[in-house]
Amino acid sequence: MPTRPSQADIYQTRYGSHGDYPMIVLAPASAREIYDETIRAFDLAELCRTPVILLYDQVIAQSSETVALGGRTSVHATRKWASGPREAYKPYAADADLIPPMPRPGDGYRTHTTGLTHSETGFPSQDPETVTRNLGRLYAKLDKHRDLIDSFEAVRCEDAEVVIVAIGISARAARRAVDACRAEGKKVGLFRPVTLWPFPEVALREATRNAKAILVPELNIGQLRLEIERQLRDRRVEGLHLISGEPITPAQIAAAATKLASEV
Amino acid sequence: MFSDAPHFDVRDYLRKEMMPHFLCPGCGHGMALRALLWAIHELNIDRDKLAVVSGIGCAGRLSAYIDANTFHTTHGRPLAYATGLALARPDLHVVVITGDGDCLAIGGNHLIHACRRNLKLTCLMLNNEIYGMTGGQVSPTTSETRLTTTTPHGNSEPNFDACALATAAGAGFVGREVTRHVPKLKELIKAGLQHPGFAFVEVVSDCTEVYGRKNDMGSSAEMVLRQKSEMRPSAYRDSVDEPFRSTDLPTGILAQNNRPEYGAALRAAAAARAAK
Amino acid sequence: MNEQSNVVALNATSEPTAFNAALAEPTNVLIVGVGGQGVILVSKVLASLAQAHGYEVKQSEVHGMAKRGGTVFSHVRFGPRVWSPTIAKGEADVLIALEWAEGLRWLPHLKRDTGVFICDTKRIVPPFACRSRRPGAPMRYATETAEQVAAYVSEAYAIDATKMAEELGNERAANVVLLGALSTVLEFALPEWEKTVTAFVPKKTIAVNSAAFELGRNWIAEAKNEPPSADAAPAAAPVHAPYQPRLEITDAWCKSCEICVKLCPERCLTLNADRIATLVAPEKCTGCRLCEWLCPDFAIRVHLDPEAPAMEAAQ
Repeated sequence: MPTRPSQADIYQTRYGSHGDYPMIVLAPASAREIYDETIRAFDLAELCRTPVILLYDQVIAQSSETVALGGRTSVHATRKWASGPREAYKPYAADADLIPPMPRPGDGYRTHTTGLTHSETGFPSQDPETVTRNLGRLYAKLDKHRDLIDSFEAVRCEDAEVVIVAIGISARAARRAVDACRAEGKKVGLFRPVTLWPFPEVALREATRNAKAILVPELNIGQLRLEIERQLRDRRVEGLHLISGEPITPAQIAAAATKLASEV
Repeated sequence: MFSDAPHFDVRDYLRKEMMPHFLCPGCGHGMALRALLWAIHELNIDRDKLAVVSGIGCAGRLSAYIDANTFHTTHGRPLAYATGLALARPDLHVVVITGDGDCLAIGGNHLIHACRRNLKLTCLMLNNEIYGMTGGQVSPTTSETRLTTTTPHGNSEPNFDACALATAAGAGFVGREVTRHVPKLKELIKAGLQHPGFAFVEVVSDCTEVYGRKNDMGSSAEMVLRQKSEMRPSAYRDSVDEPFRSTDLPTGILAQNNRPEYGAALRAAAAARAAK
Repeated sequence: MNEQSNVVALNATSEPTAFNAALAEPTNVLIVGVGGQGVILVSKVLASLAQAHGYEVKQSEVHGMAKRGGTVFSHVRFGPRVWSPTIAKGEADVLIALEWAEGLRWLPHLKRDTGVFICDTKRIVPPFACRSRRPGAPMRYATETAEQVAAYVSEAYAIDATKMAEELGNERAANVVLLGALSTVLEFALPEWEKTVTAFVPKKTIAVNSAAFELGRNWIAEAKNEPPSADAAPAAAPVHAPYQPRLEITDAWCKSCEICVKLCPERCLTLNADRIATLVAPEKCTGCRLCEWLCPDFAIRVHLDPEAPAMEAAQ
């Protein structure tokens, strides 16, 4: 549905290929956050030598908001370049941080870059052990730098009995629903993963420590809900799904949260 | 060949640990690769400053065998990668190796827009009229009536003249040669490498295992010989006394112009803005 | 001799030669060369000139293989009465050759006692003169020395007309240099020559051809005053140093495609029992490198080893 919001690409960004690999996906929810997260996306891509996807729905992408820019600057603008002897140089032999320095054309390393699975030499390999080792390193690399990658927003979650988990325009609506519910005396909070993948599961568990139920409003038939169900197996997880091409309203979310709060 | 200077040794330019290469017996791509490396040798291009970008397919695999900065990119997109590389690093010699399917079908739009921009790049399109690596599917250059796995009753689509396409799209240099004439192909690639804009070189290559076999085109050697009988070198192209070969494949430099080079124009515009 | 010293008189006589066609016998001029050199133009100029002079002219030419670099010759006969259009052996008064070996080939047509031989030292080696592709094989181009030629004819000039024309900026004007040389041995007046040459050469090249004509004419005049020189004829230099071809075949890279076996012009390769390309007739190999160039697997490397002196002598 062109020009209409939808959020059905949550898994496509993460698992879009038949080959296995980790992926960083950032899901900003405002014009200001798009600005900040774009800087961070480049920082992460440069630092971790990995593709980063900025994921936003149509409403977030095409809304205009008054923002004060500045404040955020790039921290990792410099890529790690290869140095040292050129003989027997291995472009994918990683340092202790699991990120191999990158050879620059013209520096004399004469390396090969390929989209095929490759060994530390950069040349295509289908050796099971080599492939497992190198793809494994990609996962370990992101695991090792989770402190830089993870980002989230938790609103009034400390005492919340119902925590709403949402991204993008659904999270914007949920933010207002939280205020509406709180005004009614309902203990409702919002957890918004800014880094969607890898999912900030530790922060989610912390934010939902006191929650009895989770509400996941999203513009699809149930994608983010699957991940929350997987993370919080002991909790009741309800979805609020809309596939009509319209965004979910704060009132719809507030109503669903209120209903859920009364049931637990 | 009678020169006292040591003859070009292709092995000096290969990643020998990768040899023998993965191409089928008799594949024309090996000859094309030799001609490219020979041209690079004769132009004395520093291999540290040579970047070879290739796409997907049999032709795409060639970059891995060249001892230089090599990039094996995505299907149809080597020109897009190369455009970025050449713009960011005008000090590099950027050469693209692509195939007929990669360049004209999946990457057809990248080709015409690369021609239009006229960025300094050399694009070598190895035309064997088939998607060889994936098992012999029909490609945009498969001749009419040819049998392929996806045209079991003979190809009924008219095929592309890649050089005419590149010329129409404005490429600065367009040429075609057959692998049969390795020294002439080398000279053509040399001219392309020296051209200050976008150079498109179509190499008429043979796929013996997947295409020739299916179409009864004989052994590898017979296919190589057939190239000679079906081509039309530039020297004879416009000759009045060759009236009966007008449909044969024109070879040599087919088009050349001096349109402004895109990278230089872009940098000049940026410098002019910065000076304001 | 002029300062350029690229021209040499083989044996000049002190008496300037001039054939007078007004005598009863016709004057016979034979013009020979290789396709593309301009033999026909020379004969047309001469025929037209003689005709304008009031003589009866007969011309006969063969230019069938001209386009393929084959031999071209033209007989021009003029006088009060001319019957046969061709010149018999030993009957030519003047032999103009635009190519060295062609000149030698037609020498028997020249009159032994009075004939004038004017020959460009330009060498165009025909394919048949190097039919053996064996390395170091002797080239079968004419080996006659200038002395031998001088001994055969009464008056001979070896002129590097091609080089002279080249220095004028147009190699193709060599034939007009020779026309200039020819003008000194025939009876026609200089203005007649100049008028006819101008009428026959392409308009754009009139200036260069006029200069070429003058150069050839002056050269003969100067050469007649020069002592004969022995080293006029070009020596048959070897095209390349002798070598012995050697094939280095990387068995592990060969994929038995047989392209080298089938395309070797000497048929000296084959696939061995393991279906690996092998040189079976090394004595036939000429080192042409076709197998190296066409091997898609880079499995063949041709080395041209310098040949041992003993082997060179054996040939």
